[in-house]
Amino acid sequence: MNEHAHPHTPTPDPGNSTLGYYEIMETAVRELLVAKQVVGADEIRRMLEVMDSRTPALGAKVVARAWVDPEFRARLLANGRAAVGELGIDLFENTELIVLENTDKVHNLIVCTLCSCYPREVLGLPPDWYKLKPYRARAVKEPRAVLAEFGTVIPDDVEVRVSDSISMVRYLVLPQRPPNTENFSEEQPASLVTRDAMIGRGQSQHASGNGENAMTQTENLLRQLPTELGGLDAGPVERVEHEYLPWEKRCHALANVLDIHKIVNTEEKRRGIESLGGEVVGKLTYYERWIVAFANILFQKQILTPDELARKMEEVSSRPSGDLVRCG
Amino acid sequence: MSAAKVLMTVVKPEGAEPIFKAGDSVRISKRFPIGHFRVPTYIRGKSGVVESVVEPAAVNNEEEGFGRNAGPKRHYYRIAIPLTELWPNMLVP
Repeated sequence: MNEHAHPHTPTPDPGNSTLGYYEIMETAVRELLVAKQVVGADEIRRMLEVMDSRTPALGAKVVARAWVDPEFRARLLANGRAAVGELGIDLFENTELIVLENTDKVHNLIVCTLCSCYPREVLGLPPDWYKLKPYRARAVKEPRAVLAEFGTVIPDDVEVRVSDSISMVRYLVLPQRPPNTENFSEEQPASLVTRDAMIGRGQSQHASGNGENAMTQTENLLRQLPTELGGLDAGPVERVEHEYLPWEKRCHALANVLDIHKIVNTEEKRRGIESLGGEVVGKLTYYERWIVAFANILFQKQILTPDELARKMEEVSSRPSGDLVRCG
Repeated sequence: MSAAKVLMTVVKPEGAEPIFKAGDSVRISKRFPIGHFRVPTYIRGKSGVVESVVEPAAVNNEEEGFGRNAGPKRHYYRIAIPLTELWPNMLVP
């Protein structure tokens, strides 16, 4: 049949069938929220720029300043948020920064066993391994073994301290200044200060056992949230790290804007992810969980309806591929 | 009334003063509620020492998870717990 027989029906373009379901969902949620003026398109664009400006180089700058300026170091250890603010690094409201100094006697490691708290405003987005089960489960139980998997061995006379972020505090490790850097100028930090060092790298040996009491099957489902991983048995930490996809960064930018406006705050998002249940939490990737949780929360708050999201997703997925990505 | 006397009559609102201070021995509560809760299971019932008081006071984040963005604030604390306290069956070198 001649395709011009129905001149008002466009020829279907298979281009968008390459877009994933969750990217379509993220696009639809964002466009609906912008159309309803719940958030502004410019805000999300700007937030993406804010996020892109946060990289480990910022953290390295903080560390380098602390190495050369003892008074800054003291201020940094007393009030991390205020001190990094001196260097123009602002943190989102409601978060505090505690800087932990490594010494000859103490080695610090940071983790979030409940979710994925990380000093993003200072270091940028975290590596995958920080957010996955092996690290989050084992860092609080056998930190030395975990550190050994990174190739860092901590001597027995050095205490390992693991800090678990469970509230509004974010942690940054202040690594020790390497020897023979007396002539080191503040401008040379990047090569000496790695991102992993600012999360803390260390090591120890094997540990075993968990000592948990037996519980009924269903009680166990309720007592420990599917997102909570501290102390669980897990395999080795693989150094996986993927380049963040554009839709993932847009999803994170949307989350930040929703939190700043307190339309959906960060804690609500965490709770929303927990509410997805074990199977969904286990099978969806990090940002897939976010966007599904956001959709549910927005329905609960009657900001979006399931039907309007479904219609928008259908519209988004039927667009010619060239039109798809626009922020607003 | 002199200026010095006026200052001494200032009373702080409920929750403005931390309950614990650095060095206090504390025990983590052993409650197991349903739903959003920010006390990891592995520390419940364990004993530790307050290392520092986190400032400023903030809204209870368990309630914040249900949309409470404002309201009474309380302090959070950084607590140090030895690994041997957390994992009694752990083999130590």
